[in-house]
Amino acid sequence: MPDHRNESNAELERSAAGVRQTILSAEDEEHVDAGTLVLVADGKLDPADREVAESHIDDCAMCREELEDLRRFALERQQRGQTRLRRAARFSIPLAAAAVLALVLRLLVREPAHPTVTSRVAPPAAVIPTTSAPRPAPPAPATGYANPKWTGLMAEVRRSGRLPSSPDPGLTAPDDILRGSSSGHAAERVAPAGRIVEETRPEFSWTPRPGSTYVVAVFRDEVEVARSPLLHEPRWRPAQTLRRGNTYIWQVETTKDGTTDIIPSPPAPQSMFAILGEAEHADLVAARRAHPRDRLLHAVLFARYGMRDEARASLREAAAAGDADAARILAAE
Amino acid sequence: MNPLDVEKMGPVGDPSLERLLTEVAQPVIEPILARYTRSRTLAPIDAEDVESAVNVRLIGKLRRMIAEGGEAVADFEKYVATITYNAISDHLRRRFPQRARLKNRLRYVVAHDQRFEVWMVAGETVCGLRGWTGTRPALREAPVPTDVAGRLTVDSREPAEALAEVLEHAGQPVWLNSIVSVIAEAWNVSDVPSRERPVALPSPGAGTLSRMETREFLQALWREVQALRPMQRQALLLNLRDDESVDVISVLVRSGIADHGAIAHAMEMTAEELSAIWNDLPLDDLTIAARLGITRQQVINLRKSARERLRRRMGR
Repeated sequence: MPDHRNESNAELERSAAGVRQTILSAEDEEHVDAGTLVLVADGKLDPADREVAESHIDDCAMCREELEDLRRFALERQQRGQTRLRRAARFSIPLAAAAVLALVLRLLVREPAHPTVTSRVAPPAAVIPTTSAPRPAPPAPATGYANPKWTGLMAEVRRSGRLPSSPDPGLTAPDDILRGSSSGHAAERVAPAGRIVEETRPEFSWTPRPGSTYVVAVFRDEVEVARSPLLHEPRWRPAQTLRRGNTYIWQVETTKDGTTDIIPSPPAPQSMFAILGEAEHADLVAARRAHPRDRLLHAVLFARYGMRDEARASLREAAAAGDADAARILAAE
Repeated sequence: MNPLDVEKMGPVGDPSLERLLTEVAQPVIEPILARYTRSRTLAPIDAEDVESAVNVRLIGKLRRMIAEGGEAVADFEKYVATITYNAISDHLRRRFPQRARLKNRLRYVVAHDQRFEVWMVAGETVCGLRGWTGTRPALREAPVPTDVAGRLTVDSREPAEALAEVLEHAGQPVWLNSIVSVIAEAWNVSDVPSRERPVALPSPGAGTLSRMETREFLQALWREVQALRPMQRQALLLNLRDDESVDVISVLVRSGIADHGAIAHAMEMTAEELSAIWNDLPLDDLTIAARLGITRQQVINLRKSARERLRRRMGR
């Protein structure tokens, strides 16, 4: 470690001024484009690109509102789809029979299928894709991983076609009717909730209430361990780190026109989350460093440590990069 | 056009720079804006605003390139076109938020519905049914599906069905902006044009950041660096330096703002690992990319976004 005791304050001042100038000269902001917003909403963005997009969205009201709208739309669409599926199930048997009959008739008549609407315009010669092709998946180490536990886990996953399970972390609190009556905001989104997070300073976010101010309080064993200043934006990241391996409950006190309310609003359950343990985090960091592109290994370790969302995201990346096992597991999930 | 050679340029205000803007940039910007005003997507007064925004961004870019010797622009005309399209998109999103949301929803539908595809032609998004990919739209505007009485028939509130109806009626690929206009009209999606709602970025050289004392500045910097996302933090710290290539990590240590262990923790490495690379700091982008398992361009994007965030947060 270098000894800096003899360096002058003047040199430090000059270096600090240089760094300040570097930050001041940051380029003008560009908003997150519609295609990227869709990927953010779907959770399909590469982790590095996600950090870039989210960093902008944190501070840009316009992009944030568009993303919220897109997420609402995605949810509505999913719900409509489920309703349609339930309705369709009632007709599935007659429809399947009709499909078989149609196939038999086509085979008997031996006529080509009717041209579809897509054949009205000839496919072009030049194709300009909107996204770059995914990089090919890295080959799995031929002689196993340096860590024998990873080798064992990966062998089992490739054999069984399933991600490892993890014990229920017990992060789902029951509906809380003791905290008072509903304020009419029961469907509000809060994050993190019901999951294990890797960061020791996670970002807390919640559905905004226009015109409100917020204060976040984080508790462990009913003792408050962190409290935000008065906030005007629906997100906050604590200055101090939370302890690895611990479970926390958090809530937001919202105030508007002198009236204070709590998010999540009763009777919605309290928001619980846990910070990934020290050993598990070290294992993940080691895996990412030793095998940065082995997304299937990342997915397996995330799943092993109860981080199901992250596991699915890594699995999707592995499948997109051409890992056939990942695609098989994804299809079975 | 050849790559832009900033070495041959003088300071901003130099006639060669003026010529570059008027003789190279304007012939790219004006036809793009004219297309948008002809299709009534942009009002003439808005086109003037967009043109000003593009010029400000271009001058800023050229100024930084001259001052810092930044990365060369391989194709200046293409770069100007991209900036212009982005400025138009940003302008429309700010002034017509409901329309922007409709457009996002259509993009979402296209990404999730196997019937559709989008692709780029000359920097603009084109939408078509599967199998049409790559074709340039022959029509500037989407033909509007109407019934015999001339009423719009796109009456479904389901964007996927509306999109299918417009495309099947057109029988060929259509510019996405044009589809948005047709569906917005059919569904009465209208915005009361609002004035600009800027992101409120502090302008370089102004604000709190430039007034802070050295120690206060470094403390604020360290606080904000810790609040960055993990890869952003690493991409920044491994390469952030002053104008004489002194890395910011050593500045933080020398000033006593952060010790070796705290910095190692922020960079998700052990103190021993940090010591091992100490003498090599700042690292080049390829080395950082290899460490993080990402591409060099992603490292550049992460660092750029980190610097922008620091400027926003510290400039308040």
